Amino acid sequence: MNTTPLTLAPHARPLRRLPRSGIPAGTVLNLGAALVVAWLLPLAAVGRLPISVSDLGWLSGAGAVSLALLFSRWFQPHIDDRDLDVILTVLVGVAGLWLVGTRGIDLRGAHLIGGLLLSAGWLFATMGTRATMRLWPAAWWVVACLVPGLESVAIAGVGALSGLVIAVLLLIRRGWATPGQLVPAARTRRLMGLVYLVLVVGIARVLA
Amino acid sequence: MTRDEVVVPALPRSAAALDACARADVAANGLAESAPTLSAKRVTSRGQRIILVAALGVVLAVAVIAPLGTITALIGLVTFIYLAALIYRGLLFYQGMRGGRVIRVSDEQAHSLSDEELPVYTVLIPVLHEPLIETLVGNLQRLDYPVDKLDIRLLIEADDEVTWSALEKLDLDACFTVVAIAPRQPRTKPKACNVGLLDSRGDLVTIYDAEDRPEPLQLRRAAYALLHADPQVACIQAQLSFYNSRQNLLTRWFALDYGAWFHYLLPGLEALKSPIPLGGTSNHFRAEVLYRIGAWDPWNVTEDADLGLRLHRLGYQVEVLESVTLEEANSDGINWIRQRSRWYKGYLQTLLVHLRRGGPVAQRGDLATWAGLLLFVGGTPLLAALNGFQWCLTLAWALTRSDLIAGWFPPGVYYVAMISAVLGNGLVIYFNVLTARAMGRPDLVWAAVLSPGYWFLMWLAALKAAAQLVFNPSYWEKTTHGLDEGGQHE
Repeated sequence: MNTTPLTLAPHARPLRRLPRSGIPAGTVLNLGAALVVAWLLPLAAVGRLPISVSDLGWLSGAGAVSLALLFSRWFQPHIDDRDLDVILTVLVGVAGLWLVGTRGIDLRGAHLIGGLLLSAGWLFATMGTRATMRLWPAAWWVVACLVPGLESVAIAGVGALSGLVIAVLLLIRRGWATPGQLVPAARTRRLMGLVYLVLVVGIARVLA
Repeated sequence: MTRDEVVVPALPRSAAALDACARADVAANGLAESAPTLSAKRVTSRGQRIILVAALGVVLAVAVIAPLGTITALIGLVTFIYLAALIYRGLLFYQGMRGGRVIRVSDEQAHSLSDEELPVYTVLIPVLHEPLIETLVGNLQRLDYPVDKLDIRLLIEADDEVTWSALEKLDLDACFTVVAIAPRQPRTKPKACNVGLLDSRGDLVTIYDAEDRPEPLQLRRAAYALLHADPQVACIQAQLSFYNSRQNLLTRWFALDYGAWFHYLLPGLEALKSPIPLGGTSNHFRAEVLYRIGAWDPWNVTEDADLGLRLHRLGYQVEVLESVTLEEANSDGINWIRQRSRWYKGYLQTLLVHLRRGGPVAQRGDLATWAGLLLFVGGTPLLAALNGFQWCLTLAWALTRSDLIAGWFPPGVYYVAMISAVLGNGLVIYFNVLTARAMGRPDLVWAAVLSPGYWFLMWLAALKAAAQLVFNPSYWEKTTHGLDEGGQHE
């Protein structure tokens, strides 16, 4: 399979960009979809919602860190590999579904990690390996949901605030992304992401 | 047929009458037409396809009748192959630790041959999308060899505008020849090398990659060694190392990889008289032998490994020269996976080619040859591909204690698998620590301990290689260079 870098075709018009940066707004939406839709949908499909107040705090922190990681300046050699993206999508998707559908062990931990892997699968499919691996430190905030929150608003605040502080420090230290550092996902990638979501939700329903 | 009677007429000795397109066609298809059993143009032979389809059919039929037994049998087969490969690798290390034969040519010996006595040396440099060609030319100009005895050939694809633009700004010495490669499939390095070989002047031939920094006396040392070696020594492999091995964890892993190869595995293969897969650069050949055996297979993406096997099967020897060429270690994970997947795919191509019967090549049926071909050349990519699934099974069983997974591992298989997993992984980490010591690089010890991370990358590369072998077998994954700290930019 050909492995061309993820770039815009010359005639394609970029999506509207965030002010004062070269970051396409579509990339923000993509990330939001991964963090919310790809994680929550399978869990909803197997009836393992709702999430607690403290979870919301940690997830907010994860969101803030993710945005900062992606939209701060980082070395981007524009070397991508579509084969690798597909391989990783399949591997983490299967692993995530296995965890989401599992029984008999710590369900909350398994479902949390499973949901995280399913989100990663969506990201591998739509944004590619390089951008997805850039985000991995934000996973610590998601894993922190395993800490018993006891529906505490204070703990939720710790989660959200810690993420926000790290995000701000990242942006101050590294600065905004340079133009061209991120490009919108091509149509084939978005289609693959859609197929992935449909499959994941369908299989999760079967496993439920 | 004896070795001296075998000639694979893939390339004509003179191509003066051929235009660029005809040269590219000869370079691309000469071997496939004159010796199809030696060419990877067809991934599998007819006999191999029949065997593969039959085997698959049998497995599927048995799986329908006895699914649990089939899974157990397959896992058992893979487990025993792992054990065999582990024992073989241990044997290679043991033999390698006893010290292999490395040819040492002192500076005095290297300079002992007068300019008149030195042979003409053809240096082939395949180049693709290389804007920094000035650096490449500078590295070549540091070679200590008489200019009138040098035949340096820059091999550039005719449609490579980036390289041609950079080349226009340079004033090259008379020993440089720029060869335009007509854009014909396959667009590979070995095809370019075959084109470059046509009409070359050299009695000796070597290849360097664009980013290589060979030691200045390497050509003199290789010439001296080949002039004083037995005639059956057809090739001398110089040692390879990296100039950016301290850049990050990946480059440290890569340095250990190469270190293990040149300190232990290569000497071990020599000691066991096994075939030696050549490295892709700094191989120094007798030109006459290269023509005799059909030169490079342009359809094989590890043409170097294939050539090493072919030399061995024809009764020629490969020796190692104590002279280092510095290369750029891949410092980017995705770039590394692309490069490694090409190596694995090429090893699988090489395995399939050399398992074929017949052709103009005498079969070397001894145990050393078969062990090297099956356990090393074939085993390296296949076991890398299966590794990850074994780990996933282990992890899944450890987390869930699933009766289903337990059922796949009856005691006979379970204990062998456990030994392979614990002893095997531990031994490989230990070998890597030994390698760090042999290299005099204590900074590599912690990278050696973290080797499982490197194995994960190998797993991904092997999966990609297996898929590409089916869908795009001769596609050449170009490795991007200039990612070392000196060349890094945002």
